[in-house]
Amino acid sequence: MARKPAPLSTWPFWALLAFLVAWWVLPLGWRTAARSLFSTFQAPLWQAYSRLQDLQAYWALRTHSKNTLIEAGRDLARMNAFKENQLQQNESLRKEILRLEELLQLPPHEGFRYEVARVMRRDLNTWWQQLVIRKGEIDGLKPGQGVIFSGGVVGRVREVRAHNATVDLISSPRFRMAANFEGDTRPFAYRGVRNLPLMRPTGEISDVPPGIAMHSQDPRRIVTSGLGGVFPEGLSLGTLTKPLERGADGLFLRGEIELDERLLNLEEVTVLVPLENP
Amino acid sequence: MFIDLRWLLFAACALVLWFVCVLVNEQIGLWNISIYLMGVTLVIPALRLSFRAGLAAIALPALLMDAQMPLPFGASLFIFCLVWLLVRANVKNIRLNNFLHMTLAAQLCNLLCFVGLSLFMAENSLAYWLRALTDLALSQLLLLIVAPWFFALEKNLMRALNLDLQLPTNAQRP
Repeated sequence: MARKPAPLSTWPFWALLAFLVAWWVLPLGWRTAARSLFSTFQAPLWQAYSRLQDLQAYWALRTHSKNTLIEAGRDLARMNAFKENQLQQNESLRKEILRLEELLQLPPHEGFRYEVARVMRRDLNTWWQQLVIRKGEIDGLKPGQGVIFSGGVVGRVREVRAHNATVDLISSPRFRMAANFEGDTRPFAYRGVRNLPLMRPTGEISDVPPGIAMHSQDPRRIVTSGLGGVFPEGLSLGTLTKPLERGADGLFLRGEIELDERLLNLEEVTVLVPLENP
Repeated sequence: MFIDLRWLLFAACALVLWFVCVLVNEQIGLWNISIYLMGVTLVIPALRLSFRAGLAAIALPALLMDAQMPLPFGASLFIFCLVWLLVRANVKNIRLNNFLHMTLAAQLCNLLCFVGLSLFMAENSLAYWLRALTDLALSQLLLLIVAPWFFALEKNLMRALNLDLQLPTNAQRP
């Protein structure tokens, strides 16, 4: 005769339920402190890993021949000359802005300090898309600050710790901001969307005024509007390559935009730290 | 009071696997795919550790992972605890030396953990579920190779440290 199986013990499940209730009623401060503790505990290890990667890159560069270095130096010299020219132009434009502000008695234009940060870790999985960067509270970073790279907008700082910070990528569905077409001042909404496997990162624009006609033959750049003050206006978000469609309300338009592919392989970014006016 | 320190070894193995997953995901993230293999870390602690030691072995990695996630703190801990309790409840049906049993347990644990996290972040979007299904399929396939390696790593580390995989005498079992 087959042995009757022992009845399932349910006390561990009740214990788990009790723990959950206790966890939820635990003051938010305690949970935040616990999160901070566990985060701080592992931070040096991730820092060490990131610095090891830098060392690895350094030794990989050391293997390059002298000719390659000479060529790289020559290219850099050309770029430096071009950038110096741009710096001079920027300086004259800055003076012009100051002169116009004084003339029109406008409030001073708020600027940014650019904090360059190495990417420590990229978390690009099913559920979230975030970067951990090697700059934190001690460098003046705060949640909500904008992050950019040479190709445009990267995302927004979500969480700041002493020596590192977490950035939500613009391809993350958590990310929303105001944008407009390059050369057009009418703003609309941008948000990140879930990206399908093996496809380019994409985002979605909505609430686009119907007056903007779009054709797939005429790809247009989507740029930051400057509204909200997190990003200056004119930074690239992506490119609209498909025609816009009617939104759910039937009045405004919506569409999908292609983001820069380099977003998923970033090694260095710049955080826009707002300058505080005296 | 007897303290079973084997939990430290299991927690360390789980952290090693997490680190490897982070490394792999950094590279394959370029193609918008990712892997999740953490379910495999729950099997042996559920089968061979006492309640307290097992809980410690899964709680430490879970909380370290939670600290990096944009989820309510403790979400992974909750999912891990639930799956770990389910394995403990079926401890008599899983044999540690049976390859098929262990592989199936690892697959089931990983599936439940993945589904749990996906439900935490669930949204009404086809793209989300398509991405989740692709990553789940990839993870489960990869687990067929990773699970035997991971179990062998745990067992061999135990052997190297002269630790016994059998239950401690005062272990409480469900």
